Amino acid sequence: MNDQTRNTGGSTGRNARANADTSADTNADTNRERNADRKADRKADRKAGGSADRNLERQGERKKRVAELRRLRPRDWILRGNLVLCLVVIIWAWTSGSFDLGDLTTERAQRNLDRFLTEIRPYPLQGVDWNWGVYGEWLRETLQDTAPRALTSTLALSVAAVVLSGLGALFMAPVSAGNLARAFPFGLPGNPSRLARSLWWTLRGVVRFFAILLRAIPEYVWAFLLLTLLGVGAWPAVLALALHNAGILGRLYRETIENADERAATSQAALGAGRTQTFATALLPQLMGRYLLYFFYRWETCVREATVLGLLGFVSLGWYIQESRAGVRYDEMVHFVLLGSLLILLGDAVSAWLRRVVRESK
Amino acid sequence: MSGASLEFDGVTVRYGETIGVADVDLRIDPGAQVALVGPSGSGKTTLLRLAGAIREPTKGRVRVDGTDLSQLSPKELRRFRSTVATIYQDLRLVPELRVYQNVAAVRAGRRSFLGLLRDLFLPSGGSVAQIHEILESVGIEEKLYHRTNQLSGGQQQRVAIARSLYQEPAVLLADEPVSSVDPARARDVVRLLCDAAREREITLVMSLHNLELARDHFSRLVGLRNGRVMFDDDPSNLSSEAFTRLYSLTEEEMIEQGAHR
Amino acid sequence: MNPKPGSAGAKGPRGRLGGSTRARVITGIFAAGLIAAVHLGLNPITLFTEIRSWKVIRDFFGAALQPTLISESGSELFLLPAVLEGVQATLVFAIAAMSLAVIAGLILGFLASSVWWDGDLVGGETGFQRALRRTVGPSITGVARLFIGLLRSVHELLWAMMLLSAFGLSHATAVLAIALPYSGILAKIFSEMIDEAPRGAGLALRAAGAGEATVLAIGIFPRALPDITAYALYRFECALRSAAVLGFFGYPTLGYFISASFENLYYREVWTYLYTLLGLIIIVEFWSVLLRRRHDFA
Ligand SMILES: Nc1ncnc2c1ncn2[C@@H]1O[C@H](COP(=O)(O)OP(=O)(O)OP(=O)(O)O)[C@@H](O)[C@H]1O
Ligand SMILES: [Mg+2]
Repeated sequence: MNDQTRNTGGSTGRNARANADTSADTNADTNRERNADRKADRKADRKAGGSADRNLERQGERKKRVAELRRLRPRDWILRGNLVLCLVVIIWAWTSGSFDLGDLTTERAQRNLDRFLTEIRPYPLQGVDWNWGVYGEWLRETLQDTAPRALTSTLALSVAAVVLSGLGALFMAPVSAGNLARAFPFGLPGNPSRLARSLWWTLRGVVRFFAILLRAIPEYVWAFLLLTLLGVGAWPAVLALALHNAGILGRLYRETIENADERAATSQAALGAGRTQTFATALLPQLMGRYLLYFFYRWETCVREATVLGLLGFVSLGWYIQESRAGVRYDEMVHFVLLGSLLILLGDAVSAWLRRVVRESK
Repeated sequence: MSGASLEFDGVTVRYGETIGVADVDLRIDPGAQVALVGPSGSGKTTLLRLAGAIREPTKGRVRVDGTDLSQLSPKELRRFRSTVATIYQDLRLVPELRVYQNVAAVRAGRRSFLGLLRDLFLPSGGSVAQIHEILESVGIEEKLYHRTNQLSGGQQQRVAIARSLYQEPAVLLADEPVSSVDPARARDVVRLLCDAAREREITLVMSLHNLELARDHFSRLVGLRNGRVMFDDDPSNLSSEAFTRLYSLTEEEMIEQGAHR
Repeated sequence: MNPKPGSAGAKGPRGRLGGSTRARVITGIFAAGLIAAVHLGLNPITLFTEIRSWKVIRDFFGAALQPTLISESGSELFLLPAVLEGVQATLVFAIAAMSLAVIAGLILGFLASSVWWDGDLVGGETGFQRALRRTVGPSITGVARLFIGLLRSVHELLWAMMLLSAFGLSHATAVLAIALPYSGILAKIFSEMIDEAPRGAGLALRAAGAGEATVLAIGIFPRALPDITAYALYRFECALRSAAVLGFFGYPTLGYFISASFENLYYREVWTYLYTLLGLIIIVEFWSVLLRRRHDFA
């Protein structure tokens, strides 16, 4: 204790005024001061501390202690391992030769870019001075018929899909939750047969596997597969979005059930309520708020994905984008993309508002 | 080693319409130990914030060791703040960091940014040993390398105390340091703080809601009410009436408060 | 994740009112779903009547149980090299893009947050400095938010299309196509996490004389870091899926192999690739759970 106070005591000794008045460079200054302090300390030490032997002994002890503390220092190998792994993997990705950012600056790419930049300028304005009137006219002509249809169908696609996925998740979550989908839920006493136990275990596993499979396969891939399997129309797009999101919501909903406050459910179950009854009367009311929050979050991503599913041939925004790209009408293409980004930002705002409504209705 | 003196000279703080403290004159000698008492909203926290140069007075002067705080340049202010340690009711540690890192970080005022990062992530044996010793003095040296969020509330409180001592301050300010600790621990903590400050000759100003603790451990009590100093004396000179008056609500006040709402 | 204790049981008059708001929201959802379905002509019956060939469907889902590592093209080709090629490209594009996006997301997210100019966290000892912060800070944050909105509101496939149109075909465009929107997505969430991190520790450091960099880096950032890490890992999982989908645009990721095999009607191969993607996703998820458990990242 004394060691420590003496060693660095000098810096406390400097009073507030001295500290405040020094305006030179902080670091060099404090270092110099500190060195001076230390010398003074040592002098004082010698005067007061008696024999040099005792001093040496104390220093030896201190050194030992420092070494001991150093040895005890936690080395978090898992964290370090993860950091190293991240670094190695990133370096591998950049050096594997799969891509070369330099490709974006080759002469050909630059020429391409120049052409692209001239062509995204609205057609009537290419090569002439900018004129807002002409631009407005062009914008109206391009978007008047197409935009409302593209936007409504994209929106409808996202809404229909997210409602379906919400319903699907509502069925998947309870039968895969570890605390509900078991022979005797909520830790109630009972002596389940081995058969009952393994049946529930299997059910849980199968549903969970399905959920993760649905989730792992992206919407776009689902849409691509279903388009061929089910034929044209809106169903493949809606189902593609719904399947993927049911996987995600199913997992999220399951986790909320598993983390739920089980007291209400336990007392209900103790009264003899069945599994379904308990879930509907004791758990669902408690979890509904969270379900709605997740639901609206997923709706945001549904809007985002709905715009691009059109690339596969559904009449959403993506279809118009694809069409104008195929016709090398880049001016149109960029405007449709911007329209989509407007729709997405709007959807985010609506979702944020709805989430606030739900949260405040607690 | 010596503490710094604190002087409040006709100090007033207003938060818009509300009065934080009004016309406070107070002198605290170097190394003295003072307890601030008074009802909620009486201005204790405000006074401590003034002493730590976190707030400027609306009117009046705050001097520390004779230096007027309002005269300091931003750089000087930073240096001044590094000589004042504060212990907060809500501790204000970084729970994600380890205990020694939390303690080491408090010397930020005297370290360059990179120097501090080194102290935190590649500490020298010497500095760790120093922190270990300070933790020993508050009785939790075995927690040196633990993640702070794995400690109990009382242990975290001790980390906060160790941190303020490691700062080697000239003034130690404690704002209701024991209001979230059980009564027995509260006494321990107050005693620990008083002893540590005395040993290091640090000036100690502590706001307390527990009058008994204040009377038992401090030889000087400052009673605040509505931002004004009601008394400033040794507890043995103070009648119980004085305390009753300090905490009672007068009729005028009730009306006044009603009008403010 | 745990519901706040008492929130379930608290049923004052507000609770009942809340219940009816919630009921209205739920009704609204179903109504919207119904309107959308009508608008799209989603008829549950046509879903079944319009199917051209049940055999194809049977074949496809039947193949789910028998993925193969031998090519179905009849040439006895081993499929593993193709799988590995797809996995490698998917990983490389996702990792490279995420490494860019996390860095850009942190910078943009920090700029879009208000910690560096709002409140008592940072200096502003003189009135002038304070005024400067209060005017410059919000405008920079505003610009950053606008930029973030633009980045994230364009889907990665649309970014890919535009970049392809702009630069011509090169694999670098795939990396950029993922990195651009993901920077925006990460930045938005990061900025919220930084803003919502408790500020007490930062204020305490400042009161002890710490400079701005220290206050933000030691007092604030560690408090947001667990959330930031968890979210970045989740987004990495999404990046893998995005990279896979980019294969449909001709990049050599898993999507490319999926579409090629599917168009050749090699359904068992398709399932091999789908299960491979599933495996990647499971590994990443396992990894992130491990890291979170380990570091109380919750
Ligand atoms: N940041 C602020 N903005 C506006 N008013 C404030 C602010 N801080 C304090 N006040 C007001 O100043 C007065 C004194 O507050 P202060 O926090 O100093 O009281 P206190 O004695 O510490 O109270 P407590 O014991 O409850 O902590 C109160 O009326 C309070 O409402
Ligand atoms: Mg207070």
